[in-house]
Amino acid sequence: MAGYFLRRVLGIVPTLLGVSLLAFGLLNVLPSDPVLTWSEAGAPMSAEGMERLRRELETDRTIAARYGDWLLHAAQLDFGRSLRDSRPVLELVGEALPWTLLLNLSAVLAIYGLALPLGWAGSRRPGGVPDRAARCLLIVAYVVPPFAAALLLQRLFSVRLRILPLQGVTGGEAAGGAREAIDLALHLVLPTLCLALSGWAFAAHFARATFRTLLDAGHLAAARSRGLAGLRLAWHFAPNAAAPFVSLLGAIVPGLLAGSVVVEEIFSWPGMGRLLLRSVDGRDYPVVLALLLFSAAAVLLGQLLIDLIYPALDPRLRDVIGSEASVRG
Amino acid sequence: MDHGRPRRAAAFLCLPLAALLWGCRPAGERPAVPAGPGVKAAVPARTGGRFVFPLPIEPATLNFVSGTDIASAVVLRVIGEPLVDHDVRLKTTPCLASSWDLSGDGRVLTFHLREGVRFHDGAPFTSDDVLFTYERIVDPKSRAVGRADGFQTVERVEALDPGTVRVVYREPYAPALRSWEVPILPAHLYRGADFATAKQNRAPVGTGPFRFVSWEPGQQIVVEANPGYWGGVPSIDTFVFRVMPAPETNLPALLAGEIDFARLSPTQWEARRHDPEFQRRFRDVGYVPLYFNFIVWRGDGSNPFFTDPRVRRAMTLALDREGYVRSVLKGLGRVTASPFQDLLPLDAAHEPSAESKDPAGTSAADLPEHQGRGARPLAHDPALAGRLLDEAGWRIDPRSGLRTRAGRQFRFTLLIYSSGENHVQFAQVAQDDLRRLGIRMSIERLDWQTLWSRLKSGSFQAALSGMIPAPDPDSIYGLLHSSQIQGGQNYASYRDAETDAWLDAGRRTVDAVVREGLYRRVEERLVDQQPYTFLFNPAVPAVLNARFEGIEPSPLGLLGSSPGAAGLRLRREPR
Amino acid sequence: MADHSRPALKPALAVLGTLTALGLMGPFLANDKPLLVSDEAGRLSFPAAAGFPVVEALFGGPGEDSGRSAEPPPAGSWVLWPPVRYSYRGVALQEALLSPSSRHLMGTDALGRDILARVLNGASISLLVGFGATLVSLALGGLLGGAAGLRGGLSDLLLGRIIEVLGCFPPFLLAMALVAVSGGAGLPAVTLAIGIGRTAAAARFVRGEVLRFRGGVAWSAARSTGSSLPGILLRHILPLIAPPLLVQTVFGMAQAILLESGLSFLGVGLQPPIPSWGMVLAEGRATLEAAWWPILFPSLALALTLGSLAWAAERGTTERHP
Repeated sequence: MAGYFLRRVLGIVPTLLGVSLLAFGLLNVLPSDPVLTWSEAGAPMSAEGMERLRRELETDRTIAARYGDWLLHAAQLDFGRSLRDSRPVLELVGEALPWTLLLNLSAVLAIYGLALPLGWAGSRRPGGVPDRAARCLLIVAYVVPPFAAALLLQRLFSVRLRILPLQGVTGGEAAGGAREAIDLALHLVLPTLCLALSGWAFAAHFARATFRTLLDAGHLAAARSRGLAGLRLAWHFAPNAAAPFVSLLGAIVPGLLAGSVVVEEIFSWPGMGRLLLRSVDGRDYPVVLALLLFSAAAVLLGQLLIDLIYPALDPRLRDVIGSEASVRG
Repeated sequence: MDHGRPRRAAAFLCLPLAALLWGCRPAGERPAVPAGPGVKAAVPARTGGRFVFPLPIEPATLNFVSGTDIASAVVLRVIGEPLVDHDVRLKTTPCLASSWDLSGDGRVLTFHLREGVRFHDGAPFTSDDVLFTYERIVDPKSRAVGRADGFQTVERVEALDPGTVRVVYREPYAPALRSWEVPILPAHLYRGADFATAKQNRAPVGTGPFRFVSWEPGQQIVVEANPGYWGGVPSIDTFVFRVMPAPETNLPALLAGEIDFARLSPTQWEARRHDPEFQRRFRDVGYVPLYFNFIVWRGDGSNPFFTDPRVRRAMTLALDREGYVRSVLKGLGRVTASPFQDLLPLDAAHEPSAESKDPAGTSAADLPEHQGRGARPLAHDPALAGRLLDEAGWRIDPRSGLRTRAGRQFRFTLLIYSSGENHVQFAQVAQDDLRRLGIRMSIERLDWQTLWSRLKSGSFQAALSGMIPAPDPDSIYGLLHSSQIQGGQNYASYRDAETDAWLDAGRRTVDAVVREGLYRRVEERLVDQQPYTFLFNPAVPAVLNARFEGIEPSPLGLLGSSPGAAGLRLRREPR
Repeated sequence: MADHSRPALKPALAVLGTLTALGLMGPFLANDKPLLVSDEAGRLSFPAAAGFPVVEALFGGPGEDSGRSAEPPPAGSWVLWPPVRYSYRGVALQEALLSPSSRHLMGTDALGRDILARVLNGASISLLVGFGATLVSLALGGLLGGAAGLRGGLSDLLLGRIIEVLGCFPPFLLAMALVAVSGGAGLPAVTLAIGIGRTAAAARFVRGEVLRFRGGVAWSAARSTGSSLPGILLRHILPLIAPPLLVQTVFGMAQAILLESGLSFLGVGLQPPIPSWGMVLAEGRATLEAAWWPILFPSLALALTLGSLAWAAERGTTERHP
């Protein structure tokens, strides 16, 4: 078991290498001119001035040499400096990472927070009215694309009702402490909602199946006969529930990371997704590479999480997780 | 098995705790800047207050010389100061140079520096700083692309004494004064440090009315009033520049009181301008920016369509520019007849023209405008366009409905910049206009880098782009001079010997009347040849929180000219 | 194990069939040119075909237009018009941003184009891209995954790595980069890009199924007949995995349509004025303040389409797990 685990973790390295290779290749095929990172689109510039700048910036090295150089530094965790403002890439990523983490964490909490109770209720009374209503609602949440939902929600809550802020992370008043925390929480609501939408249906579906498996009639009766009831009953089964729900995490995290990009764009959330879009547009390849590596590592770890617990899952759950994991990409 | 419980409880507490901790984090960088002694002029009582201004993008750097993107420029205007500046009418005004002289032959410019000016850290401002700034600008390592162009004809810059700087040009250079509108660097802080990574690039020090306080990356930059400012302490205490990239979110933030200024889209403006509550809370500070859109027709023979000036003229006639300004921009904007529209007349040569006909019928009469006499835009006339095309040999083939000449159908692709809101929309309008004339235009949306590489290599038939000229007619040089075809901005490959001569002469002529005459001739030739179809200049509807007064917008924005933020103050009487 | 019973397929097939029909019908329902014109001599012509967005998407530029459809039909001939007589591209600046009314059931957008026409025509584009991309991903993924699963050993290791690398790339970014690299124009580029972006998911699925098959009894039976590996893939594996493959297709199509509309929303891929739903939504974003109809209707269209696909996929999986 430990050997398999170790092999899998080591196996991440060649994959990351492959990702960096592919990304580097793509970025170099895209048309780009280093002069543009330093000049303003639409401002008058002379041909001579641009040529001077180009000579200053261009390094006359082959793509392979540049990649090799980048790789050497990356292996020592030095991801270079941004081409746009010369700041260390790790610094830029370090600024954006907490925001993305915050958004995704609250989305995960939102997903679990809704899916678990719904799944529980559904498993206790399958086919009942609340179960079917919930499943219907979840399908709706699943099919509305995040950007469409974002626009509709923005229109409803920010423009019409004016109870939630439209974008950004703060209102600007450096009030400190509790007021700032509440302000941040308000700004989190809409983006979290949009990000969590697509995860809900699957998570609730999975939770329902998990609870039904764990709580089949035999086990439940046995536990009840030992005098367990209510919350203590729930805690009794909790450890067994941990494994499937951890693997659920592995299934939804890649989807969240992908969805982050669009949600961050729409809500002006200063996270890694927005940084990525901006950097691709500006061909800021050190930043792009670092971000892609990070998200690839997160996706791979997520898959590892699933695969570790996969064999221990009930075959019925295995199929559910498996089908979702395979289609989520 | 139960030891999982306390760990789970801890996990549940994590997020709210994290959120609270987040609120208590230290904000950005705060350098300790002591207040300098400075000049204390007699000033009216200050009102204090805090003004929040939205930035559409985050500045890449706050280095005075290389920070030329729109956001950096806005922020740096309040922190650093140039030798000469401009007012809301774009007339040159003294700033760190209290006066200047130009020699008779136009080659020697001598600046007399203002006395008693100090940087935010107390160090005195002298000619040494001016010299240092010049050296950094022309050093290619500083990557000050746009600015360096204006200094290419400088032979040398000398500091005659701490209060005088002499600039010697190789030949007379008409836009010389404009080129010195660059904020002066504090030499003593940058010497010995690596220019590209010096910490002043993130925490700038200048001589301006506000001094830097903090920069929270991705969020905002805060500056506060400089108590030692030579022009008198500004009225406002704190200025906050908030990074707000999505333009449609400016209005809700304004309504919620999060920001004090907002640019609106024409639809937003139309929806609100008659609301009495809105009019009470906000003041109209809309303006017509220095900007124009244009379509480039590649006329160098690489395609059979656009070499004939009749065809290009027909294109201009066919596109319903007035209709677009009227319906989509709600009348807020002007059709552009020529790129010199806002750059001429030269104020040194005329009084501002009293009567100027505006063909596009701008309806918001209270928008300040920067009108000039000159070329009138060609009116939308599809019938005439059709006749010109027939004349040029492009006749409609009844079977296909397309204009054809010698077996070749009139089909071409227009490249556009995908993030240009008006660009994408106007391209679709143009497509429809041309379809009715029997011309097939397809649209190709590209990101900026890809568009630029296609423009540079000339591998296109037509492209839609825009330009933000500097307030001097010489900034159009790059668009029209034949030397700028290879690797420059003359995308149309426009080659006209007389235009070249006029442009070169215009650059060297210091006599304003002669100069204007030269550019007027370039303009006439341009209207005749139509290598570019100039489209329109969208006005920017904008509003200011009515609690503030003391500022007027200019074609360079609300804060784009002197005195700008320094003159801002809270309104005294209650409303 | 799983019970691949036939009833699970009916919802999936029904949904796919309906969507295909609707998608194909869209441009027939909303067009500013007549569907059928029969002139005096009884000859038929189909002017509407010139106004199909597919034509524009494939050939970059609207189809040929004789311009005669505006003339009144001469005696002895008849004309058949579509129910919604607006095209998806006809700019009418004087009718900009009208709210829904009897003349424009879904209102108009900022350039005066009828939104119902744009949504109906957009259906054909979104569905075409979705279907095409899914086919591409199944073909490529089937090849990669099948080869990896069948050959095993070093090939599996290598191909498995390739699949993993492709899978780690956010499909979004991969598609964006591929579109930009290919010059950015047209339907084939976008379809291919999205297809490649989804290949990893398909490959993983096929590989998993192939491995499962190899662990079973049928494998040795098939091997003993002496057939080659590709033969086994086609003749034995394919029929067995057809039902879950169909469900996977349905699911994948939903993801592909979602991906395409996301790309259009961000301004990448299909060129204006092609009314992909994502593009119509993006245009509606600029007038969010003033008008709700440009964002509501394309959202509904997307939701209905994705919803029926997701429902069919869910029926396909849950039928197996009572």
